[in-house]
Amino acid sequence: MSNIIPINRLNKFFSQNDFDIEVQLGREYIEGDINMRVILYQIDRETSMVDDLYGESGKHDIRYKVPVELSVIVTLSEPDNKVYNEGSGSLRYLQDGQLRFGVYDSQLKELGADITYGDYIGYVVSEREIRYFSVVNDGSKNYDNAHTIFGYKGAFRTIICAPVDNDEFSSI
Amino acid sequence: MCALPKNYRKNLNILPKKYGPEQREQLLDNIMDNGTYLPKGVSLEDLDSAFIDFVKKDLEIVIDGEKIPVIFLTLQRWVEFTKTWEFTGKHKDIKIPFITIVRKPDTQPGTNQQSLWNTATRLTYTYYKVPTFDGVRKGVDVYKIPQPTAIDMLYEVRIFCNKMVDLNKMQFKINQIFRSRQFYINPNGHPMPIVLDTSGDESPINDFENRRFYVQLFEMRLMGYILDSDEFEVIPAKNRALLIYEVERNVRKPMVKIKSDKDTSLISYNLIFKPLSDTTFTTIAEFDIKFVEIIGLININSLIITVNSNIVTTPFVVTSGDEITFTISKPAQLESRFTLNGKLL
Repeated sequence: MSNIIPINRLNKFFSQNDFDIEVQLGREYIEGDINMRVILYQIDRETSMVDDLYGESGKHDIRYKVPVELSVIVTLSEPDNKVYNEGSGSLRYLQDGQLRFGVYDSQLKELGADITYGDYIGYVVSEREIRYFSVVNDGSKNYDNAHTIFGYKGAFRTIICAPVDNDEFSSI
Repeated sequence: MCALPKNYRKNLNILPKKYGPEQREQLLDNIMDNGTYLPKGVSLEDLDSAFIDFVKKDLEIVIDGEKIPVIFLTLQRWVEFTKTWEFTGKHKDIKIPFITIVRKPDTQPGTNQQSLWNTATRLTYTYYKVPTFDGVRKGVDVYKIPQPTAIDMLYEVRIFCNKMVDLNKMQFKINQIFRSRQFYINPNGHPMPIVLDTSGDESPINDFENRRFYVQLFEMRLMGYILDSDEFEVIPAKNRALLIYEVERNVRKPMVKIKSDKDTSLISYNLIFKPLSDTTFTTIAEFDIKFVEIIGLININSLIITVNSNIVTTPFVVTSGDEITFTISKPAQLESRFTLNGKLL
């Protein structure tokens, strides 16, 4: 069992209780007011089937844990007009922009979930369509100033995701 | 630890090694080892697998009693964790030191033995002949394979470490392994050379304000080939009729036996053409003779007699000194003969 180190910084005017209140206020805003959601598909790395040599897997070989709905603040970048044949300018496609969202640590903890590099995120873009993304930065090191509350402790994470093809992952 | 003087080695391999033709035979045997009379096919996966084994075994580095992990990297993000989870910390960041292998996705045309024009079709060539016996007739099955397709595979091997001592271990091994330019690996038993193309340093050691560690890049080229086992063939050898011609080097000369009787003045030329003998015989008349009949023709298809180059028929007269020539046609393998009877004049 690791030792617990008390955090005493800012202790003249900020404490764990203050931290918790700030988090609750923030979560009330995200979960109660704006109510934007993404679906987290955590890869079950123990039961997923991978190729012995390359470690690759098809979309039907990936096993994931029970999907979890997260209330987050979403920023979805504008789709990018691209071509497969760089240089010849042919075979155009429209690539989804990066998906970024902020999520409170406490929410993940309550749901017993964690977001790690490579997990998949589904974002419902219309009544009939879900776009999928892969986590490229799980923001697990959230003790920088921007992700703490007054520098007291990390409170939320910024997750950055890249779009994936449907042949890599699809929940349906 | 490494700065200490080296001790005597106690695990020298004293088993004799094969050299020359014996070694070549062994290499061929290895190709079929634990298999059929055909070699095993070679796919790109086999080449990758053999290369990874080469890095894991032949470039094995041990630091502080632990082997440096070797990680083969591909595109899928989450899969990366399945390869690195043993060596990661709380935030799932892999810990230095480690070795990575990245295969350049493109395979290049082979530069080993085949890089110019080649056979245009996928012909198969005899690889092995296996004697067969169907209970009646002995035969041979011919095992045929196509010419392998030479390809070059380019690999980037990087070592990430924090200490020069660890880097030295890797460089020492690399230099030792490639001291005679190439190192052979055996994907599915097929020997193929790896050469060291370049080595370079990618260490961010000049950046004083960021994390510093050593990164050494070794670009290696596997000069291999691929072989599609679906193109292998096993066919029975053709039955061949064996035709033999015997040729006599020394042509036999026909023989003539001359019998004469002074009392009756009768004379006979008995000509004998042995098998494979010349079919023309010339003699000089020693007397004046009138030949009257030809008898006892055996195995003779035709007969032409000339006297001084003039064709004659019986009866005919020759004088002493005339040149008499007999030309026959006959079965080559049989003895032929006839008798020419006449009377001395």
